[in-house]
Amino acid sequence: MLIQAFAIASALVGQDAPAVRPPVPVYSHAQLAGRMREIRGAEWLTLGRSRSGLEISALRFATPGARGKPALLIVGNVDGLQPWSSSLALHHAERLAAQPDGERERALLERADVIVIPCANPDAHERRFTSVRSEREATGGGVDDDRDGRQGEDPPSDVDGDGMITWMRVEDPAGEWIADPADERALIKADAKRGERGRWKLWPEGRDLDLDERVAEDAASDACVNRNFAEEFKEHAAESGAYAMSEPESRALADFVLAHPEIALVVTYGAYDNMVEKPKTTQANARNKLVPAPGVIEADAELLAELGQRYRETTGNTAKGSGNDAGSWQAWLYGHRGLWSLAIHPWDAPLDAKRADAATTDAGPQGAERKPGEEPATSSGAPQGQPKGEAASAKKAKREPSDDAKRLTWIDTHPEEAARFVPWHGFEHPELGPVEIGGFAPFARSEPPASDSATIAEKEFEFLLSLGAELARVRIAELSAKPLAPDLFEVSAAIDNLSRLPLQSASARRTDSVRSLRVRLVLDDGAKLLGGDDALELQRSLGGSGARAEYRWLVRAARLGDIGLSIDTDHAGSDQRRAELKP
Amino acid sequence: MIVLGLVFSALQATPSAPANNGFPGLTAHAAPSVEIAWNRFYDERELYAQLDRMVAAHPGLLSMQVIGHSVENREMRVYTLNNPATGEDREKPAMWVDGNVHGNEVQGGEAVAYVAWYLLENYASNPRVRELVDRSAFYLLPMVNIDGRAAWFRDAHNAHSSRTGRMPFDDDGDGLYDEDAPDDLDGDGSIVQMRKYLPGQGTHRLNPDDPRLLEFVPPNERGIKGDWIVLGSEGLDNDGDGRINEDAVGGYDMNRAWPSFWEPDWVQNGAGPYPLYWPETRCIARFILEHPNIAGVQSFHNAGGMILRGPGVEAFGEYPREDVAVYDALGSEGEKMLPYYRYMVIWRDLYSVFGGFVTWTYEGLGIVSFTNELWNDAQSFGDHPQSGRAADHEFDDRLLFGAGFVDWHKLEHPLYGEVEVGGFKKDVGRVPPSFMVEEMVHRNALFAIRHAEAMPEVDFADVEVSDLGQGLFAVDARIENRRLIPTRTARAAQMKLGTPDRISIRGPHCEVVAGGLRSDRFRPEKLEFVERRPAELVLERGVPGRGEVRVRWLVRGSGSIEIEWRGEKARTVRRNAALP
Repeated sequence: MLIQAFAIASALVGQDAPAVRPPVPVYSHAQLAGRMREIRGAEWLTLGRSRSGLEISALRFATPGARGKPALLIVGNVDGLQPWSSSLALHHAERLAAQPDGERERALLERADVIVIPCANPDAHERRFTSVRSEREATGGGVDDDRDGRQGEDPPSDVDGDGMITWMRVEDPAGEWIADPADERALIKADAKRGERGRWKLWPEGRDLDLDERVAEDAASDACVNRNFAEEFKEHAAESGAYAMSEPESRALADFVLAHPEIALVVTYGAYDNMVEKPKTTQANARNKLVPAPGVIEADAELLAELGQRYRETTGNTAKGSGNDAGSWQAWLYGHRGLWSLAIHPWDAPLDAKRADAATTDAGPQGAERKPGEEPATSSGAPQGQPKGEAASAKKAKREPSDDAKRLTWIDTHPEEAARFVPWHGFEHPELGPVEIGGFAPFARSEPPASDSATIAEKEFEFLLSLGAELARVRIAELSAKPLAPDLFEVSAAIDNLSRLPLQSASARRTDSVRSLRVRLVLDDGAKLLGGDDALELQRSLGGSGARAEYRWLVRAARLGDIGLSIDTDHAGSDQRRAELKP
Repeated sequence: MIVLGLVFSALQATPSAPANNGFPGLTAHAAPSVEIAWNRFYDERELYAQLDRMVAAHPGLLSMQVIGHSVENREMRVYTLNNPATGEDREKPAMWVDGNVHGNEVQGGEAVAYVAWYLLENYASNPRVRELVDRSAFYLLPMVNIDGRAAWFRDAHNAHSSRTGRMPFDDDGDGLYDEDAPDDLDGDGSIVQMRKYLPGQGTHRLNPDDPRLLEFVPPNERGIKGDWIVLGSEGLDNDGDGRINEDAVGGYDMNRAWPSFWEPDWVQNGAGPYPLYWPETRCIARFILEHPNIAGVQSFHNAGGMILRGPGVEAFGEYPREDVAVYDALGSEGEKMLPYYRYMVIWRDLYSVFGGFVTWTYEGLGIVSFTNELWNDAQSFGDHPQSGRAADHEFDDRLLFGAGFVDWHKLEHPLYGEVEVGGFKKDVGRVPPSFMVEEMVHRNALFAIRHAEAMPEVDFADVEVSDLGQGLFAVDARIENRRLIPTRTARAAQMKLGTPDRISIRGPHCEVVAGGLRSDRFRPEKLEFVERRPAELVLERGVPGRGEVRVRWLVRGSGSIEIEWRGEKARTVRRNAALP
């Protein structure tokens, strides 16, 4: 909290005129497109179409620059479960368009083109806006999930007609779930070691249309765009898709990246994170029988951690990512394309809310809240009817409230947010009989409150503006010629990169997926190379923070002016110079 | 008119028709309906034209469809061999046969065409061929890398070049694409080797018995040096970067592009940016995924004399025991059909391949799949095996009168000065000479056809109804598969690939109380009865090859019942019975 407060204060101080900005709501695909069309000064790019035919579009902010000017790519809602992340990406585009001559905006655009893909996964995105809302990621091809010889015959559905697909809990002796003692609305898995016995079976809301006593277990779609990328692709998992890049969305995104080698860094707003938490790391050469080990190479992870620290300081965000990023866009960009891939999970329902009465030793109405480090009051945290001996051992292994219980605390302390949780309510299910339906409303854990949305978006934009200066930029630091004999020169060149990020990530060097720096000695009018390095050198690696690469040639030339140097990259600028006499 | 007459006779002929009986294969009185010279190779247009002639001659059995286009916009054609009179192709187990995924491995294309030709020519006269064709379908794609084949025929090449497709690729990472390919310096249509005479300063000397041969002279204490150096393939430094031939057309491998155990370029050279990146591979994958009836796969390559199966990489482990048994049975038979060929596991006996085609069709789709490497140099000498360059020369000198070799001759190279160029032509080494082509394509095509014969065929061995009293009946059905390949491979069952087999019972007055798999032929109570929906039993493991499955239902009611077995890789079968 202290960091967050500090960051907000510094962000406000940092701005000349802190305008009160309107909330940033979630937008449908059509609304996003409409707002994108309003934006002036950016080029419209079409990447492709989703499986259902919705366009995947981008805006490119380009200012004239040297050959090899880098591009920074911003992507929203690639997993489809984070529709607000599309608003965030769009917000950045609108801010760039609104103030292209602002000092920091101009600094970014001079350094890099900015490409914004607000909605990378339109089909899943639209589930936020259909008459029945659901957090379902799958948009692609389906398999026979329940192996009954039929496909898609038992999908999730809005059984109670409240316009949302949530959860159903059914009392069942074979159930695995119990109420979290910290908040009985939150469910946790029963822990047999604690002597807990399950009370409920938990199903996604739906029917049992195939009468196989399994609920909503075979939907028409299984493949998820953000499990469909080739890095760590999980073959044979239904959500992965038939093969890597089988989905039109993932292929459109991948082909876009392949067609734009100037992209140096990608910020993806979505379910994953590598800015708040350091990602899982690996050694550059770690392999198992020729198969490379997944993870971020240590050297790259350290640089990401540096950026991450500034990210946290700038935004105050503490939302960690969810789950394993195998098969994701974010992981593919880094692992297969060698790009700097910043994964940001912009908001989650806060886990650190405190109830007003939390300072007292009394348990709250849910018998839940305790001060950190405090022992639970006897039996208050244990399920009722538990034997005394069990309760005593449970006392030693204190159970932390589940994240869902913590989120509920935040909802309870913000009455205007109550709609984020659908209270469990009894329902007579056509196949299962009496059940309870409830749980977090779709998207309740990814959409910030309207009152915070503008502040969050501004802070994210603040961080984004700072990234331009980090991108590798090569320049000729020196090109000098020392006369050794009449018409004979020793030519020395030094190329450097003053930015923090190196010319290529360790991943790019490993994958050889980012083209090398081309260092070309330019000789005019009969000047001739007599020795030293090649006339064309391909430099695969150049570190950041002032790292240099040096070259030497012996050149016969009638005039100094016949000797020049030209350096080129796809993604880190270019430079050229004529030789000067070495003093 | 002659063609029409032949079509008529092909469709009308009875097995006793004498003229064509047993040809190809038997030779007396041979008169094929479509005469094709199988002692040469055809460029991409000619090969399609040969297949089109077969379509014209056998329109009832062979048809063509375009499933996509290559990088250079050539048609990707699948020729489907199917008898519509016995059902749609999709209702039958199908054999996929392709060739020439590497552009230079041209004989794969002829071998694919030969599969169609053999079956069509023998359909009327050979009952076994007719039985096979009537119960199955063949999807034949002769040239996977049709652009690479076209370039290999059209341009100057050697035996190993034009393996890649034709999409531009920046091999050397200098920002330019395909700017420094080998050059046919003397314009003779061959890319051969360059050597230079440097007396007393070289690494090689000429073989005194045959100066066409270079011999390496190892560094030695006696100070003996060679007089020649070897300068690689015929070529120039076209882009002036100080390197020669470092960025030829393309530079990738469409047999590293398939989605199982795929790894990117830096792990598997040639793999491309993601699986199925190139349009040729993508349209084939789509076709195969849309045809779950494909029950066998054969891919023809060259060379070395191999019958290859996966795994492609050690990290996979080994295939399930039941499937290995099927592979071994087909592979060992193949070794007998294909002298000088060995049945091998790709990673263990050859080298590691990530993203190979036949490893995808097995590991990803559960289909028994082979790659054959057509032609083994050792065949040149029969029982007197020789190998190496000297042997190549002996063969070329004696049996081709030296036609296969470009004799060393001098020319002026802009960088090296006077050099000699010479070497074997592109159609030496990886493809057989003309007189051995027909034997090669026949033996390999017949291996694929034998594989197709092993595709599953399911039928009811018997169905029995017994009265258990009190209105309860037991219906026992025994379903057998008399072919080698199971309806679902162990791989398919393990990974839950495709749709499982189902066996169902229904009748207008039949109520199914329980049902399940029987595990003991003598004890009917050994019944793994299912929890729900007993009228349709799901057989994830299918019907084993040369084996059977027994099921039992407990039913009530009366009147007629129908039992149906249904699966992806064999024809649906039904049997009627009646409750008393």
